[in-house]
Amino acid sequence: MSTSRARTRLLTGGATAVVAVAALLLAGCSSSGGATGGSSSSSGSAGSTSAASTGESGSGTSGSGGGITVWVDAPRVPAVQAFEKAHPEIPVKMVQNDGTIGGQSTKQAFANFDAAGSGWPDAIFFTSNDDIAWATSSQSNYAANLSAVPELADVIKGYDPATISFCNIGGQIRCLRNDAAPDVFWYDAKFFKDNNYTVPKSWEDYFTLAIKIAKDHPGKISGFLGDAYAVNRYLQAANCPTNSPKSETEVVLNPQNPNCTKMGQLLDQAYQAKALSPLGVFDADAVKASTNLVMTPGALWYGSYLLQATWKVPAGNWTASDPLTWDGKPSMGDEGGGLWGMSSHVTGKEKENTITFMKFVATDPAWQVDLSTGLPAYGPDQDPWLAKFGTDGYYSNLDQLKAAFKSSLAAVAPYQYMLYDTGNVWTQTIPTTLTSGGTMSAALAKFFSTLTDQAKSIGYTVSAG
Amino acid sequence: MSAADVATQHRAHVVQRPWSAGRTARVAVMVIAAALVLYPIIGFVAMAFRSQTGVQEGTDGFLGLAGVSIQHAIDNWKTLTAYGPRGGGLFQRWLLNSVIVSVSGAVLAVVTALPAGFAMARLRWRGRRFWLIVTLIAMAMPNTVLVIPIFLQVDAIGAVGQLWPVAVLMGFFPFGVYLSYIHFMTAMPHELVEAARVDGLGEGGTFFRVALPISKQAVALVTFFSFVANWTNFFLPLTLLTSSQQNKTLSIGLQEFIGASPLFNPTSAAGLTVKLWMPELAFATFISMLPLLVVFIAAQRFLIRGQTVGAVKG
Repeated sequence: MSTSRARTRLLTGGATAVVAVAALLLAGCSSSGGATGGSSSSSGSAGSTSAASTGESGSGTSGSGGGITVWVDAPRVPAVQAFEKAHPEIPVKMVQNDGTIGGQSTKQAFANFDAAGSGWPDAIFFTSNDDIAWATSSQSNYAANLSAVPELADVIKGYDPATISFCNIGGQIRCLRNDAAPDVFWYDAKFFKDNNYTVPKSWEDYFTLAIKIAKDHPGKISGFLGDAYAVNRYLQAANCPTNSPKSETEVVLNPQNPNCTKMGQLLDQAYQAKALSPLGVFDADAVKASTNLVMTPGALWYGSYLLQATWKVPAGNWTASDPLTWDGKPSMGDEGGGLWGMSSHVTGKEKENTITFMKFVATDPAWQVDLSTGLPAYGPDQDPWLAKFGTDGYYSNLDQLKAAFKSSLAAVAPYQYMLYDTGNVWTQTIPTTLTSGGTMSAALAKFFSTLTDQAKSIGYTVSAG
Repeated sequence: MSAADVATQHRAHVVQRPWSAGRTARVAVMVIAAALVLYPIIGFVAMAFRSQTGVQEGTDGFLGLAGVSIQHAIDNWKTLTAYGPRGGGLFQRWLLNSVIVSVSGAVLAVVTALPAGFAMARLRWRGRRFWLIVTLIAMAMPNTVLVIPIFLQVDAIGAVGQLWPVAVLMGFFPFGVYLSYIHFMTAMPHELVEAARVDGLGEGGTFFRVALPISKQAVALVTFFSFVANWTNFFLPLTLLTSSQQNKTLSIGLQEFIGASPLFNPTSAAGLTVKLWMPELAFATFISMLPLLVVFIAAQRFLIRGQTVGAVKG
């Protein structure tokens, strides 16, 4: 018996020794291996993986020499490459992250970095604008307060306050807007001229005309309801509070708000008159439906992306006019427009280089004017970008369209990105209710009910105002 | 009666077998079930060999079969391999990474699972039952429970974003241990172990010279299941490799393709030079299936025999 115990002790001791030696070996190996790059809360240095060692940047070596790690989605890769060309002295490790709008993989990766206290990228392009909500939450606090960075003060001043309002969280600018995506009023100028219709000035005029056109020309439609941006297109424009935080944990959600009920009634009447389609703008069937589209509020990228490239609407017909008014004031939604964030964990030389990067991608014409497909959010870059826009003769009345683009920037209604995904709730409730025969009123009631449930389940306290 | 007469009579019997209502119904159900399964698979494989122009114009006929061609597959491959910053090449790299971690993980799983299964089945040692229960619990443990602990451990040794921790963790394959345990319990008579000991073999010698040579099916089964689990593993690479562009595996790379496709992210993909439409995405998925098919075909002989592992006590 005693021999057996001695053997057991010997085996246990031996096993422990093997495990300890293996752990030491692993730890030893790791000291020469790379980490994830990016910031560390303890040292604040960039990750130990150099650009050269991973072969991911190809722009030289890093280590503690100020190399920065940036995460971007595929369309923003040229921005990083333009930066590398302009600043060859700054080594960049670029990671192309999952560009799925509404995807959770970036958020999950950051939760891991928060738990480990290291690994964050020094700068990131948030594919989903909603990401700014968790990135600025007290739990994560990833996105740095850029208002406190003197080198970026002039950059922030270069934005229209409405354009950068999504980054203004609690009075602090926590991100920089890449491109602006305000809604304008798109319409088929040829159809309007042929039928002597007047371009509407207000939201009420728009719905009245939509119903009239649907009556005069059965089948013609004046907008789409089924995509995630429709909530911005209609409810945000009407100042209906779906994304109105009172604090980090409190939000106003009130379907009985007069703005919500008024826009709800207008949508209901137009949908009943068959003036609006339950499809979403990105649906495959929208290509066919677009042949009957005569006008719609929509982001300024609708022109090049939807009308011209996707729906292939004939050239020379469409243009845009000034923002519609709500209660007498220009008021439109906003559909997209990406955000750049900077790590609050980065320090030293890396911080200096990250600030240089942020400044470049937000303002430099080499990216914003020459390469970016969206209207630059940064004011001084807008005119040079607009000068290159529409030169192919696709649009009708290009000067009016460009003026509409510029005037829409200041007309964007207040809206904050939240931890809940409003657009996703919209697509889960509105099109499904409408296509199953429900009314717009019933669809909106379901939308608000689901949105309230989701906000509460995330931990928000919901109030009516 | 000669053998030929018997065969002729059998053929006649088969041919003349009446189509009863029951038989007709059974065949009809099976044909419908097969069609339901095959319809999307044929459509998916055909999509990998079609062009975006054909898809867009809707001129490729039933299931797109009229638009299938090798040239389209070559074009789709060229587009896929052009994806990525600095001249592309990410797809091939991710494919190679998947091969590296899946093969390494499978080798580790075989190397560790078979001796562990043998020890649990045929050796007498203190705690044997306890470790068997631990193996069963580890088999049932969901991946999500382990995400943060695994990430923290790998981060602590500075190896996040590297391939080797993924391969090592994939080598941890409790199902393989259990499979080996069942194999040695049922396919290897206790008398064989006793005879080996009488002949003077130690535990190692018994395992390597007696147990292993009669365990080809078990090796094939553990290799196959381990490789398939590694190749399709999404969660572990997602947790450990997200921060490294070059070191991603195909399983998470496919998700990145989807995120960068105009089909799923129309607005953000508007500025892309390499656009991945349905045929390219289907082709990438088709390519990612090929190693599984190869491993399945290679292991098929053993898999069919190995299906009876544990069915009969030896």
